[in-house]
Amino acid sequence: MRNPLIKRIPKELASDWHKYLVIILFMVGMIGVISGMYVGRESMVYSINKGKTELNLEDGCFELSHRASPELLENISSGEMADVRQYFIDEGMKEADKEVADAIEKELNEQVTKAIEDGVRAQCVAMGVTDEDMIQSYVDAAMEENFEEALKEARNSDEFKEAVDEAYAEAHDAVIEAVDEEWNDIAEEYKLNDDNFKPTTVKIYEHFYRNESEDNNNDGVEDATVRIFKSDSEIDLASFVEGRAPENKNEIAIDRNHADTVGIKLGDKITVGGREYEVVGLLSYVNYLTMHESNTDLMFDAFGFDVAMLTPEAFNELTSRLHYNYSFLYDVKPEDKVAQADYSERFLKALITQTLVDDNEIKDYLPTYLSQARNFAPSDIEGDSVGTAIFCYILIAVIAFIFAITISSTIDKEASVIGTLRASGYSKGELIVHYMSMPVIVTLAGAAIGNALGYTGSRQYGDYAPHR
Amino acid sequence: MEENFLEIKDLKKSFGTGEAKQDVLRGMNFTVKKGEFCVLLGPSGSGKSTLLNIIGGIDTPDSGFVSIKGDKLEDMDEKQLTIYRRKHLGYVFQMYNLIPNLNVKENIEVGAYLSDKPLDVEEVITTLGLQDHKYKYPNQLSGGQQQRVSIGRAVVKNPDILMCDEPTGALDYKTSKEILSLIEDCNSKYGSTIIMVTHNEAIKYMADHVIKLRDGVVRHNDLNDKKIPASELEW
Ligand SMILES: Nc1ncnc2c1ncn2[C@@H]1O[C@H](COP(=O)(O)OP(=O)(O)OP(=O)(O)O)[C@@H](O)[C@H]1O
Ligand SMILES: [Mg+2]
Repeated sequence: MRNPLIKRIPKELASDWHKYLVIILFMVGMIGVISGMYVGRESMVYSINKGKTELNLEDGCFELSHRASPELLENISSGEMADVRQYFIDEGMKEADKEVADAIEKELNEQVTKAIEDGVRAQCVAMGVTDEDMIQSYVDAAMEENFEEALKEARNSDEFKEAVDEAYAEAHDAVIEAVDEEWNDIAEEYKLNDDNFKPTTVKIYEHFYRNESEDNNNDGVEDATVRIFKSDSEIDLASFVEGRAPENKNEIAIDRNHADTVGIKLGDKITVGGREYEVVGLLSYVNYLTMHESNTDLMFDAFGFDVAMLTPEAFNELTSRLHYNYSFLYDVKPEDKVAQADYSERFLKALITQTLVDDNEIKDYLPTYLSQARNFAPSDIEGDSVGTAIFCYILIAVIAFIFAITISSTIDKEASVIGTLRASGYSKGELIVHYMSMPVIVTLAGAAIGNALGYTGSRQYGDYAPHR
Repeated sequence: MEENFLEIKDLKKSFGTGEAKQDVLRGMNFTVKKGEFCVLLGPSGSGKSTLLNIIGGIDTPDSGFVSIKGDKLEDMDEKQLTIYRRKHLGYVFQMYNLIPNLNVKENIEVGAYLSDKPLDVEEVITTLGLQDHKYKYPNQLSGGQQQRVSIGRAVVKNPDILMCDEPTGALDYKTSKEILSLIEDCNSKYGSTIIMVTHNEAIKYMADHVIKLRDGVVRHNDLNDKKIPASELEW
């Protein structure tokens, strides 16, 4: 037999429907808002995290003053530090050797010349020749005749050899001394003398870009700076919010935040670097969630900065300076924030030293964990989630309060019924279940409807638009 | 008849403390045999309802004990007490205590649901003469009808012990007699042990066992071997 008390529940609902309606509406509203916020946030966090691997987010990037040689890339990939001191010494030695050799040659020539001249003049004095022209012609003749021979002789003399060795040794000592002094400064500055250094191996991708001027309305006035990447890039891929990637050299895809902000739509024509392109895609680069042109910018600038994608062909036709930007992925991913900093520091040491010994120059270095363009939005959402959580706790408190009042009034009203049921043999547990079923049903109904509404409602708001 | 089915021993109970302390039961002793129709008589305030509540395990005594078939209620834990009330006891309250948002039939079903060996609900309704009021709610019933429902809810459990607290207190002569006949049937047909509280002296003639209370103690404890049916009672 079914518990006849169950029949009380719909009757209770029917008789007190306005009370429960108010409670349900209230809960639907609150839960709807919260679940909407959560679902929206979850989907953002989900798409942001999904992008990390699917869109091949770099672990960092660096820019060089000119294109890196294959050896340099290989050396950087190895994660090993270059022996900068030895490089300085080698370079110094080469220079010093050349100088010493030149000096010796000059000195030798002078000495041999002088010896021959002195010999001829001594003979002339002995022979009583005093005419200077005469003497000079004897000297020239002697030079002609004996110079090579004398030079050879001088070279082979032990005296000379000793002097040469001494000169080289002295020069080398000077080089080492100078290098050590300089090296110590550099090593200190970049903490290169690290005995615990471990190489951080990476895979490097060419990720060149150009900064061009963008003219949204083709009026000849620059409206924004646009950073252009090639559509065949293997790293830091874009997800397309609308449209597609450019397929020929007259097509361009631009950041959708920028497009929204300045009012560019699919199919619009914009001028970039003096050429006109048709906008065929609105995208979001995984490493440019917000429009931070420079990492030192405190705020994104979706008005004045844009990132865009061109075909390699169109990219190569542009004329502005090519930024030799390289992106890298760690072979082994760092586990947490501390490890990220550690990895980045070690990688930087390899990068600095290898670039230096390859006669290249680092223009810029940015590990992704410090990137504003990448992290501003997620940390903003994290902030949102704290707000949502607080809101949620308040809601729970409010619901608890409502039910405390409702239940306590029910219990007052039901005191004699409860006594009767207890005396008739209902257990405490059965009665708790009985009196809890109403609030539970109301809560579940409110939660179900609220979540359904919140979920549908938040779908419009699924993607992250920083300029709210 | 089994001896000492229900035993009340030195039962004491007081309410309040200090100045306001009131000794309601002051050492009460009696036994009831299985299947007995027992009437508790006593003036208002003599502790009849209090005694029933203690026997029903709803209230606890200050000292002394109640034992059923040799099991002391005080030795039972919450769970066993619940089972005792659920399986063995039928309780007809002085104040009816019907569940307001259940109709007549549903109120009686509450009793049936709790019992292992319930009587047929429809049959009980018919016996109680409530067939025309089956779907009425308590606030649509007269006092006598409510009392019948209250009895129905206890009787339908087919309990070992049926305790009735002034089942006829608020009823007129004719209805009172009908209700008494009904309780009598329960005793004779199903063998329930009846403990019925009343202050109507006339009712004692239908009982096997009459216990008179006064000032918290048993004053008279008489067996009646010349009981007459309820229908023949007069007052
Ligand atoms: N919970 C309680 N708290 C304080 N006093 C109580 C309580 N229950 C009963 N009493 C007191 O105990 C005494 C006995 O009450 P009880 O209800 O047992 O009387 P009764 O014999 O059933 O009377 P009646 O015939 O009027 O129903 C009364 O004086 C009453 O005031
Ligand atoms: Mg009473």
